[in-house]
Amino acid sequence: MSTAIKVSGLNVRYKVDNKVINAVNNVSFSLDRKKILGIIGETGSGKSSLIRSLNGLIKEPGIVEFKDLQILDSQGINNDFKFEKLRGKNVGFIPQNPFGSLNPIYKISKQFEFVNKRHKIYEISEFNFQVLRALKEVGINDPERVANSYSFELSGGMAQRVVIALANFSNPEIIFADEPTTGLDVTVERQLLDKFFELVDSNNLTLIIVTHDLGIVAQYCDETIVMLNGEIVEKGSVMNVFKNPQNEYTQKLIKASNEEIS
Amino acid sequence: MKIENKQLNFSNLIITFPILILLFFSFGSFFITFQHDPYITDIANRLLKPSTVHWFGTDEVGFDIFSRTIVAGRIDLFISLSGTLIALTMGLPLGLLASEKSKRAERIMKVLDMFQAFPLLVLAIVIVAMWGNNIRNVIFAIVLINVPRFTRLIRSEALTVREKRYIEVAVTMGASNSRIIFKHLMPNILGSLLAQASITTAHSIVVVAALSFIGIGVVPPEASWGSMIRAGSQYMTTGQWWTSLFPGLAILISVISFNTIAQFILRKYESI
Repeated sequence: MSTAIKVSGLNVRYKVDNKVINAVNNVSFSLDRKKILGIIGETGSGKSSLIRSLNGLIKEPGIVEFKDLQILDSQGINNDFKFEKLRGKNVGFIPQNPFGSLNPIYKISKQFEFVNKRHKIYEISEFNFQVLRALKEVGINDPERVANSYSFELSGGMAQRVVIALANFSNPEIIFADEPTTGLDVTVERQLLDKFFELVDSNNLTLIIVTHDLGIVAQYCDETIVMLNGEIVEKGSVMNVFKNPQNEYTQKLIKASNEEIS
Repeated sequence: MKIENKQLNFSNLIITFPILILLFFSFGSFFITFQHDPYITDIANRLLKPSTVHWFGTDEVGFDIFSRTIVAGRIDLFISLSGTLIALTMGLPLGLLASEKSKRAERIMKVLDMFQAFPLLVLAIVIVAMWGNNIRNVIFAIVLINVPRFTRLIRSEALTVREKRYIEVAVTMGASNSRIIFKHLMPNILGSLLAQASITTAHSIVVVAALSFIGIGVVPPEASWGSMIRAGSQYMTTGQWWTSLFPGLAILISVISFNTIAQFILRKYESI
């Protein structure tokens, strides 16, 4: 099994009013191809900062440092690492909160066109068909209507499906998802996640998903990282971590979520 | 849905009036053959009341006010429109540059602050007085006044749009910097930009009129609303009201027209 992503010694700091806040502290991990990694942690544990830094999205006043960051393609080659080159082509990103993730002045089909133009994926003759296929793939039943809509005409769940379809449209190998279901209600969340993981599975994608829902991690992920105050407190396969948590914080988390279920 | 469409059509109809008025002032003089040449004085017929012969009357040197009011529109609107457009094309790249978080952006804003510290009309007077009394310098003054305004507006609009999540999503899909600016930033600020351009043109009309009122910029025999008002102002108290009234009305109508257009654009963009 080849490695898809390798991170070592990653730090993310924010400098606000001469105070330095360490959001992510000396984080190292690696993930194999076609695996799903779930990052869990409470609000403010640095999980969003971590995944955003992996896509070069941390803006000022944030500072990102790392000893080594490698995002490898299917041949395991990592020639001149640049976020600009990886984005879209190798790495897709699904942000938090679908509202506002789509440009309000363009129709959905137009936004697919932008991605297609940038990465030259499909011929113009098959483009329309491919858009409809991509929308169907994420569980949209009336893709024609959605393709001809503006983002504000869609519900939150629909918009997030479109965002997922867009992120996957350029056939990336790795997808980062930053709490992709916040702001959606529970039934929609389940439907969307089922479709999403189906898509990840059928396209052989490597996925890193950030969430605070242990149920999602237990159900869908292969590996997990538990974060607290910007540090990894526990990592390993989902099976090991959930069956036999070593860290006190992880034990508490799992106990709390079990209580919630029963 | 149907009601919405009707409302839209109604406002579409309303917007044609100011556009027609402005078109008439800008190009009308090229197509109308005037009864009286706007550039020929007729001392024998000075200060005539409005009549069927001279629709708006004549002024102190016997100029026909009707033909001059329309010819002046051509010049005044040309100056304010071209000044605004040049300011817009200069302010747009400056504003987009200034919306970045960099040392360069800070420097741009500092220079603009310096310009805006001057009282604008005084600045315009100084420029025209220093570099000569011609139309080119009036346009230059209007550009100088308005570039900081446009830059500021575009910067603040671009700053809010830059923070929008769809910009970030576009970045994660591999959109280049120039693509972000041209395809995502600019179309999203276009509405307020056009509205501001329209308001600026209205304001520029007043500036041009103010300049020619105090006798700089467009000077007689070239017609200008400001200079016509000034020429007539001394006769207001003796009862010859028409000399200043009609060019004044022309200014009022064209300023209202531009403001209406601005409002229309804003409303149209807000509804999206």
